[in-house]
Amino acid sequence: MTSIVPDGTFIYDEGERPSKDQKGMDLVENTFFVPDYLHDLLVASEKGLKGICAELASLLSFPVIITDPLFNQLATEQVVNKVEINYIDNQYREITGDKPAVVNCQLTSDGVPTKGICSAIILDGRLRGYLFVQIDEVSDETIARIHSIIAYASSLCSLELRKKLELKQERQQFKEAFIYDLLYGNMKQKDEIISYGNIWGWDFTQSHTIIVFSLVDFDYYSEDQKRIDSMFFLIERVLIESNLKPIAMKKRGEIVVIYQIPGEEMDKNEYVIKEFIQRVMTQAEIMDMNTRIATGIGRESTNPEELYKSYQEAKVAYEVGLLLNIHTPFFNGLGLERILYKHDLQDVKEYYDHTLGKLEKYDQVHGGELMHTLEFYAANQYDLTKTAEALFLHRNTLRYRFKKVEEILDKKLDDMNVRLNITAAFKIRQLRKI
Amino acid sequence: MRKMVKQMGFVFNVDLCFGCMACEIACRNENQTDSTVRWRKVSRLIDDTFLSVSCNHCNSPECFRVCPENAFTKRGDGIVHINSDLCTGCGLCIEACPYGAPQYDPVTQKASKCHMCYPRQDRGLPPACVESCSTEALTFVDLNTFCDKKMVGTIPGFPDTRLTNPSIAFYPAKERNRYFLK
Repeated sequence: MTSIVPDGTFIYDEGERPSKDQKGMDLVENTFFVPDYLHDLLVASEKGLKGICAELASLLSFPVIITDPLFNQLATEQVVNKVEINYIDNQYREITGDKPAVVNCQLTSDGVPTKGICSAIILDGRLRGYLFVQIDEVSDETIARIHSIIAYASSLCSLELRKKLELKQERQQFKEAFIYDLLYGNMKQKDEIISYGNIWGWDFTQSHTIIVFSLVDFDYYSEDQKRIDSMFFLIERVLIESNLKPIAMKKRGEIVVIYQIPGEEMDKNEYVIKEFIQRVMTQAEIMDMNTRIATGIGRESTNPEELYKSYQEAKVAYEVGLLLNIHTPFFNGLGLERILYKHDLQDVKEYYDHTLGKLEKYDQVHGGELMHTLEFYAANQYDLTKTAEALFLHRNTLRYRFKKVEEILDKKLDDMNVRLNITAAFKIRQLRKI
Repeated sequence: MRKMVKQMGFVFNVDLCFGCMACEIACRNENQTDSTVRWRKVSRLIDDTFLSVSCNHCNSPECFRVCPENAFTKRGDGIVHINSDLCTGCGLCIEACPYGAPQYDPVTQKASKCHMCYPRQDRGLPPACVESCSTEALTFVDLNTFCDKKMVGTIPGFPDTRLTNPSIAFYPAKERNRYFLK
């Protein structure tokens, strides 16, 4: 006896396995039945994610939510209150396979925890989003009943996302070429830049600044490429949420953002940029990437043809920020480092030796901590009290040490020029020039 | 409008270079540069290997950054190009480049540098240095798409790449086996 199970597979009794010809006959004689609801879902997918969401919700009579990998809601249907996604079984983030499984999850509807089931939307082996169905009572039987339809809907979503992705990639390539030309000063005419910008709705009559986000120790051959993609997606989203049209491009291990400056007040602008970066970092924390992301911010530019300068400054700020451990380095905020970082290596080495060489040698021979003490003194603006507190030392101990330092260097530490030289020498060391 | 953004770059295989200087001569021949101008230089490293270096068409070119006349541009294919009409010969780029790529040309009294033979590339030909390399120690690829796990970003003897991100990749020297006759 032959039977057909719901997924359309033929099951044959033992000894009944058909020959090739017989199999062909079966295919002709049997009618393949596609349920109406599957057809309806397929038709609804023409209206995009919203269509799939609406059709699935009406089919199951449960609220349906489609989100991106960061749980930002892309489409919802029959959702009465604001729903937040709290927890998903099986750590879906680790998913690499192509077949979406359906698992339990916990949602919060208007502050009240509810249960639901979820299926990952996977495209080319990568997680692109989630499909949630909010069901109060989740039993294994319920999951078994609707498992297949949810998996089907999630596959439709992945096809829909593929279409969007391809379209986006096509547009992105033109965008990238334009942004690239802006970043390297290849477009010299302001009017030309403004008119090209208008194609994508970017207003280059306003001031802009460049922000560089980079993955520290980027390894091209590891998962870092995917991380940069996720990062890019995340930054675009944060920009859209800030009511800004994203002007951004990926460049190997970095993402370059051309950020529109909101006003003319410098302090306020810095605050807005810091807030934007903080939001990106908070989002990146969800993906465990925040510790590897470093930024740099160039100076604002009113002329779009001079944005290339801001880009170079942003990269300098990024490099110096990494060396000096500055969380949000603005090129404007860098002082002496701006000159020192690029200065001739031999020259700065000689300068360092001339200024602090004797003291360093003395410490090496006598095992003292005079360099360390002097460094703290310089870091505390040459304030004896602050340095004493920072080093947990008595002021008189410090006085004694500084007297010794003065003897070794043959210089007076209260001289402004000597202090400037010492500060510069320590900065050279911080910049890993020595 | 152009669609693709590329980053053409040289790939240098240390083991295959035996210092014949063919690349250097081909470069000079192709570009008819003065005898004192060396757009490409072959040097011997301390471990008796050779290094052939020209402009690395960096991701963050220092020459581009320091030029007061804005004479440098980075083309869509990643080639850093100097507009000699704008160059005043101030020499800032020559000082700034860690690889010594821009060279002062005493004839024109301006800076000049490797342009990766873009006129040849536009005709579908490889740069002269690459074509002249008989051992294929020197090749060029689009570094945005090309990847090989054996490639590294720098080798001992090559200047610090941190600041400029040069568009060059290396196949480092492998440890040589010694075979003895029985």
